Amino acid sequence: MRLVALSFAYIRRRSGSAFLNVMLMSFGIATITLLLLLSVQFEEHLYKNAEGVDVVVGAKGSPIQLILSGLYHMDSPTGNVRLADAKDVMNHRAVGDVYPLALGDSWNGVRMVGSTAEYMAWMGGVIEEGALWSHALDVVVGADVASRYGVTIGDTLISSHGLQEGGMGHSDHEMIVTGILRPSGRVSDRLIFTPVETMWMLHSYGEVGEEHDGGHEHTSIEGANQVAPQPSYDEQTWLADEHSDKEITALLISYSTPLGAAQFPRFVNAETPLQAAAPAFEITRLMSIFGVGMEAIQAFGILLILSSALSLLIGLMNAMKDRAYDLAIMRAMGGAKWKLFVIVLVEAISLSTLGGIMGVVFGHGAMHWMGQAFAEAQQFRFTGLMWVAQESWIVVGAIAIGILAGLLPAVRAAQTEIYHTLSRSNA
Amino acid sequence: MVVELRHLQHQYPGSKTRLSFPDAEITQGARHLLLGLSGSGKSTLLHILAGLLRPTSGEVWVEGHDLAKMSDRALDRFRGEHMGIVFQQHHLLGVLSVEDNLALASTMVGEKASKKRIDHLLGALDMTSERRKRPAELSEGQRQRVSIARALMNKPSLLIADEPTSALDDERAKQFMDLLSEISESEQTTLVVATHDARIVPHFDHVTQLEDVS
Repeated sequence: MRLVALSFAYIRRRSGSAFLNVMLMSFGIATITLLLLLSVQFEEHLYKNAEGVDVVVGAKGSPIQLILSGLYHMDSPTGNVRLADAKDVMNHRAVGDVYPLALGDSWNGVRMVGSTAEYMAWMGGVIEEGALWSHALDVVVGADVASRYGVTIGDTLISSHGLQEGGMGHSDHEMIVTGILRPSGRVSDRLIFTPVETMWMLHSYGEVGEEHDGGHEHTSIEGANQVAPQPSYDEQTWLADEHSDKEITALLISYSTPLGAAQFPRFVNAETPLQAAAPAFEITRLMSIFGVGMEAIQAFGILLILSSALSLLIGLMNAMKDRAYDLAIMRAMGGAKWKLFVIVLVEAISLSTLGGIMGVVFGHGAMHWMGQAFAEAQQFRFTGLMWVAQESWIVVGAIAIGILAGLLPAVRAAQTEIYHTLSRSNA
Repeated sequence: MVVELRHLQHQYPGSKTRLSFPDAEITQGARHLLLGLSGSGKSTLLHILAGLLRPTSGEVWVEGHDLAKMSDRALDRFRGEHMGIVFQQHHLLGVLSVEDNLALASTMVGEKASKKRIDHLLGALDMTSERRKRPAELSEGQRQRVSIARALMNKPSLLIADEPTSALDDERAKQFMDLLSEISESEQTTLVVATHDARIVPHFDHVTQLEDVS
């Protein structure tokens, strides 16, 4: 017979209130766990998808909107900019690598991104099946797009204007699927990639490159399905195009020099009709905005945990009244005060630990369910099948709450006065 | 000498009455009765003897130790190892089975409960078949026997019982005293009982009559 066994026996006796204590604690812990998993993964996705990009240049408007649409394909673009203006910006000495983006069209609600093969590679796009585009109106689809819509190589797609389903269709321009990407766990899984020229063709900026009759043979670029896509004809043609009316949506730029961060955004914002937004700054701003909502939910979770601690405390204090004779008998049998203290404290810690563990499990379950249930509505993938280091502290916190809630009843148990308690029962 | 009581007095806080107890000596293996009416202080004396209450003055020697001078911790341990107490209300732990109630006595003094000892006591008290039952599933007589077994679990040199027969009819009181006498003898334990029940006087070698102080 161990003291712990006695604690568990008492838990079993008041299983109803113990169950409520545990559930209340677990709901609070689950809320905190869910928020932790959500915020960690959200932040990770934000930074992961912005790696290598120092600044995003696009039409004037909300810088966060520019970052969200340009880097994460989450919001509507701020508008288009003239290709000529974009070229002026690109000539700045601080500009290193540049990825152009032509956005605004979609297929079945899946966003199309007109860019370069380099951009697709930067997005983690590795061709698993088929080949990279070799003409305008050739497209490469992300892994999720292919699996969700059953898209295969050689399929023809008709895009529509706008980012939502049901936009005006570009039925006069059929696009042909030349490649399918390997799953990357990044935004690229949910996009359709195509050369910038495709977007210009769809929007009647005149014929670009070769006429695409849909009947020519699409040959694979050697090695494209093993490594990142190799630059193709389009890599520089979009830049060489001198058509004055042409527009693009944004430029993703990495600096050629660290000094770029100090000079370039000021240059763009002050001396051009465009705006420059730094992902690092905007992500921080976004996380602080996101954080306000998170803190409100977190406060609710903490409130639940505190309620459970209070309920545990009250439950144990009441239990001490019911167990007065048991405690006095244990003392009469020679039980030291610390043993009674331990029995009650173990009871409190057991309940709070169980609540903590269940809460973490519930939190992961809820995160996983949300990740699956809202998978189609998110550009980022969220999962409950990951462990965040801070979660250990959640369990430690649950144990600490058990200790705090059990302390007072445990002290009361230890102070059980034998003679008067037993005399009352004999009266 | 197992027990010696010398010049014992006790006054409860807030009370004007000071209880004085006669000196007494109880030898090893004796069966000693503290007999007195309600208010005579017999329960107080029994609790002082069991180390559950400290006297206002005087000495309580049990097995060569003056309980009045022992620290709380030492007294707890001494009580657990050398004394077994049978309470009027039994006070078995309802959350534990019969055998776990017995094992608890060992746990409280930091010892591992001996299964052999539990088997022996339950056998001696004809309770083997009830070992897994909870106290609530037992009859009053069975609970009383479990209470005795628990008190004897740590092989105490002194077995103390407080008003064990006051709620029993003549037949059951006799049966209980026969059982208590028999087992205390077989366990070679000194028996001290406090009661107002004169029916059980014949079961004892020595009787200390306590005067009514009210």
